[in-house]
Amino acid sequence: MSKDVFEEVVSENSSLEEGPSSKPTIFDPFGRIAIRLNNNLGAVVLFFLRAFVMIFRIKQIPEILHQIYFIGARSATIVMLVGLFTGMVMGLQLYYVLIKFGSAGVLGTAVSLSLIRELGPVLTAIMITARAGSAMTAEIGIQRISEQIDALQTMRIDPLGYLVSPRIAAGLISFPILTAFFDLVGIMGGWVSGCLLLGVNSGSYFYRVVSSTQFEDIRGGFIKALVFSILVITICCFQGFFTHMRSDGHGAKGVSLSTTSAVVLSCVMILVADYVVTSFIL
Amino acid sequence: MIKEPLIEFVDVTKSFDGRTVLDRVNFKIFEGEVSTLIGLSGSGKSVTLKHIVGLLKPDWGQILYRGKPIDRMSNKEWNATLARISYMFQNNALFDSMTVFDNIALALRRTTSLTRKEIAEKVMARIEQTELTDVAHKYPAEISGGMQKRTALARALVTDPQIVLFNKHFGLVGAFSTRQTIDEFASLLPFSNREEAEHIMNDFTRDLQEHGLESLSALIRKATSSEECFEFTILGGLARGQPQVELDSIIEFARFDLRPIARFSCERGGNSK
Repeated sequence: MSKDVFEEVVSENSSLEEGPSSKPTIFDPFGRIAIRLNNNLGAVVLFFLRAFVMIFRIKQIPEILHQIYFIGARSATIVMLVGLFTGMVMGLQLYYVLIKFGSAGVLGTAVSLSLIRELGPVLTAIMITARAGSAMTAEIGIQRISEQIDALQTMRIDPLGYLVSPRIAAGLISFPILTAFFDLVGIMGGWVSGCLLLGVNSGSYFYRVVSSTQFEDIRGGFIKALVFSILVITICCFQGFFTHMRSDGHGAKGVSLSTTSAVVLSCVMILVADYVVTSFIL
Repeated sequence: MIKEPLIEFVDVTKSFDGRTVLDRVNFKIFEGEVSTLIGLSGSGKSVTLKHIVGLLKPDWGQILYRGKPIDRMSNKEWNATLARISYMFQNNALFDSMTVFDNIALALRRTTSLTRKEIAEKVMARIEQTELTDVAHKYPAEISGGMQKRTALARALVTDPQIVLFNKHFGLVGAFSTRQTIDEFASLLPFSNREEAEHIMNDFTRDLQEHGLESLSALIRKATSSEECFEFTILGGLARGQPQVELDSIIEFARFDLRPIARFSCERGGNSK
């Protein structure tokens, strides 16, 4: 009989609320927090590993394509819109900083490197979290509270393989591509504000973009995109999948709390992971 | 020769948040019989059914399938066991973002190697049997409650299971529009004879039309001659060697051999047969 190890780990957390039966001390809350954190971390890792392995099972391709359309294609417009205005703002801000040092000519370098190395992967991941991640948590959460996930289990369909694995696969494919779109449109945004509106030479701008961008910069950006995709999809799916085990809300309220937690936690983890990955890459 | 039980509960105990819902429950379900669980609301009938399909695990005791404890089965054995069981949820648990057709076809698509054409044929056959042809491409939210029940029934039967677990099947009675199917479903109920069942079901159908669902519990009290038992869950253990389980054969089968296997009450410790 299949054993849901992570489910048992998550359910253990609720028993921590009751605490020890005798002599409570001031350290108990810290101990409970540490154990809960440890349990949750372990459960999330097991959740991800089991779902990741099931990506390679047969009959996943139609679901993966469907999720690429939802996570990737339908997020493209908003990601490019945000990329355009981020690039335009950067062109504007950096122009007024660089002009003080008489080096407005390196605007292309400043815009492209900050977009490709940092802002592209981070803002793309945050935008996908807001658009697709929240929807993912809500959808899986509703399926959980309406017993649809139980129904899958009774039909011998592994809910992780059916609901989570295709989303992880789609995230791994979509995040780097959307990041590339963001970078490209952002660089064009920097050109619009820096060159068209403020008068920097277009040839100089694009020459600097091409000459200063190394393969390592692009590789670093893509590594970040892949790490963020794993974090965002795993956190959002996990929150939805275990909506029913929340102690602070049940039913529709539980789903709304899970969605909020998923978005907040994903955004925080994106920024934490950004620092960690950057420190390894540089 | 002693007949081996198909499913056996041995001292199964289950608690939620310190409240014992199942307290040393023991019963046996034999192959080729249709059995019922009867008990008060909240006495643990649904919890019992969820243990059979593995959605819940007992805190204590064992559940045996053909003599083998299900907690000691390998994943392969458990999958083979689960393939023979269908579970019809109390609230239907239909996939609300899929059409009626896709809801019924999902299990075949994901767990069998049938071609698209073969799946479509099997699904359409069930759709026709359950009078859903006109709404096959609608979503659950776009169809009536009765149609949703029938969709859940078609979904439970499309894999040709050997055991069907109906959790509070009463909605099904009102879900069918033709007189014939209502009469056939009446025979699923644990009455002493078919005439009585038909009489009560006719009353029930008329009451339902005239007074709505409020008359349901009154009807069931009348049916069981007991004020305390007013909920049913039907467990169907089907005949051995049936090549293909058709909807009609389940109903036909139910007509002959129906018996309560456990009577639940709210008194702790009194759950056993």
